[in-house]
Amino acid sequence: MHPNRDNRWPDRLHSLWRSAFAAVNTRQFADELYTGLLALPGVHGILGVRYTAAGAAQVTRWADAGGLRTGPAGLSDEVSGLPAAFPLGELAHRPVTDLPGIATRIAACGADGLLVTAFEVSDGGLGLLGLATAGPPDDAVLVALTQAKEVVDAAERRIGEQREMEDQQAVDALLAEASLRMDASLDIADTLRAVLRLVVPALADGAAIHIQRDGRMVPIAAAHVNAQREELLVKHLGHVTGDPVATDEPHPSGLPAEVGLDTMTTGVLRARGRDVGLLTFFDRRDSGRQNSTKFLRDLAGRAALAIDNATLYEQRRADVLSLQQHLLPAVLPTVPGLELAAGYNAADHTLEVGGDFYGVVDRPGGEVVALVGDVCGRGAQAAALTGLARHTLETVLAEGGSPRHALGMLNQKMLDNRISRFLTIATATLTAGEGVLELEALSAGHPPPLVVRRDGAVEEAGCTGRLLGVLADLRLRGWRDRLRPGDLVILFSDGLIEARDAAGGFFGDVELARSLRELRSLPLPSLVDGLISGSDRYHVNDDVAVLAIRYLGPPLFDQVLPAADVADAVTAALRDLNPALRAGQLLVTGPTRVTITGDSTWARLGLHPDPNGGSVWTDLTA
Amino acid sequence: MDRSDGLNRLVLVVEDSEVDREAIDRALSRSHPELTLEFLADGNTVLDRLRGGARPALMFLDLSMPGTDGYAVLSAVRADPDFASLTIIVLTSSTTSADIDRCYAAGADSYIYKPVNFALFRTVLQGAVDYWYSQPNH
Repeated sequence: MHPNRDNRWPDRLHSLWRSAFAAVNTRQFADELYTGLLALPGVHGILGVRYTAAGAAQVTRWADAGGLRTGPAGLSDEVSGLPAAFPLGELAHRPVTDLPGIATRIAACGADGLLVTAFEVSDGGLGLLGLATAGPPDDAVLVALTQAKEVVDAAERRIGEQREMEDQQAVDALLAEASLRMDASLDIADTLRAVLRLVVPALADGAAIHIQRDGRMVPIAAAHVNAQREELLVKHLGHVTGDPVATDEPHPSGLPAEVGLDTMTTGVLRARGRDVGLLTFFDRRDSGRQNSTKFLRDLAGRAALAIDNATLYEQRRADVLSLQQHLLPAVLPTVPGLELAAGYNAADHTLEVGGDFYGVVDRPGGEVVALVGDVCGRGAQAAALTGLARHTLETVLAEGGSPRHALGMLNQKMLDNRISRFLTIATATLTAGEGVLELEALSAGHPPPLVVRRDGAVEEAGCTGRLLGVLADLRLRGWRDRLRPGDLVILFSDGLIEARDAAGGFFGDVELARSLRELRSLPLPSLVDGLISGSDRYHVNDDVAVLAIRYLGPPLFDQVLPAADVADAVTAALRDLNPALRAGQLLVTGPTRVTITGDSTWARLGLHPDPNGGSVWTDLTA
Repeated sequence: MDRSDGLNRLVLVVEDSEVDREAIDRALSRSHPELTLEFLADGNTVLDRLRGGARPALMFLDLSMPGTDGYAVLSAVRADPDFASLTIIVLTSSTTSADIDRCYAAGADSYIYKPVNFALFRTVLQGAVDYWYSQPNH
């Protein structure tokens, strides 16, 4: 019988060629190929083997009357000697007597010999396609196998090309995702850890990143496809000293065998001429991975840039915060009869110095001037004007000039020097009166100070005026009031009232007054922190300066007493002041200075056991 | 890929997303046509399946599933001494250190990031399967 007529080989061959250009894996294609070849006359079995470059049987298939099987038991061993029996590129027939390894299988399907074509496949491997025939194969079978081998070659090439393209797509996708992550975060160590998780096990069995710290490469992240061995990898990574060297070819990792990573390839992370880190891929021996070197270099380049950017950002941010601190008072003065606290929030979205500032000047004669200002804009120029403004104002005020005079002088200085920026400022001048504190507030284009009465009422100072640096006449209209013991004055910059909640509402609209009522009894540092945190609801996203002052009232009692006398003395002093004022249990263990300030309805009781500080106090109301 | 005859080529995939199950099937059929894949769509039946059927060589386990999630499956499987040596590869879309540590503590053998890109997903799965089949006990 002629196979081309009776078994429709031409039709099958035509179909095979079509499949060869549509198949996405060899299994799909193998079904059709093996069925077609098995239908050839005198053919009782089909053998397919794919060997690795090292000669190991990687894929084995056998088809006979029982069907097609991939990797049937024993076949790998049976075909181990076949490459030696069949020369590459030739069609050769061998009787079973020459093929002892596979003779039993061939005989079992009713054949007595094997016709084989051996050919090269991708990755340096060897392909072998064989027909188990009864008797010598005729020409038609020889032709059919030659034709089948051509189809296998084509399919192999196409599948190989497809895989190569997909491998490149995978690498591109990985690089894109890694780049996206590194661009989106400034927490570089955490980001690089995540990037290693993308790499392992897609392109390597293990990976590690070292970062340059204090002159040596310190490991900051490692990943191993085998969780049990990840700790071992971390343990054996160690620091790298000396000049790091990039390696284009995998070389022995030097890691103990128990880590299971025999080879490594290293890329140096280099940015602006500096070695900032190392990226290393590890693999087990015979992993078969290829072409990861270019990817490693690409990823190392991007990681280096990300590390460099993050480092520069951190440096710049630290410089900005340091400069910002230098534009503010290191400590507020201690003023008898006043509790003072200040806070500053630096906008976290910028690398430029903000122009908000505050200060407290303790003037000769016991008068105190508090101020909060805001220079328009950010950056070096704003910082320069901030420094000029604060120090000019404080110098003039400390020498006895009035706040009105100090503001006028600064305004004139700015106009004379044609400073293109303007600034706003509010001041609160506090002068002791008879059992009260006289307050005069000024505002030059700034949010007026708020007065928080000890009963919780909040009033805005009614002062107005033009901002500094624009017009010669500031048109300052002051506002006077009296503070009773327990009353507060709050000065702040506009970043506080412009803080928004999730619904877009401003902190300053309603909530600021409510927050002040709720927070007014807290120690002032806690009150200031509470305001700057936006009462945990409003996002303070700008520079904000807050200065809070509480009037404690005149001194009513000030004695150092033995511990045993403290309770009785306090009880007696408070009874004289107002029987409704009561202190709780007082725990003191040694000689203690006891102070009471305030009036008959509000008093601050202070206990100072340690002459160097360490006092405690409580506010009492009637 | 037929590394040596007699190997257990059964791989169990526990994944609630139909789209991801299809992607895993497509990916592993291309990279490892010799494998037999079995899919479970939720974590509730994993223990029964392991006790009642052929033992898989590997189990891919999605971490985020409704009902019995991957962590619970991991803990339950590891609590049974019969499955102490079963290789479990966790699939997840998280790369946070806390999630990784939690999985390792629960007994995962591999922690595999599940990328959106199919070509990359195939490469990731291929890398994991190649590694674990190269180990002596597989």
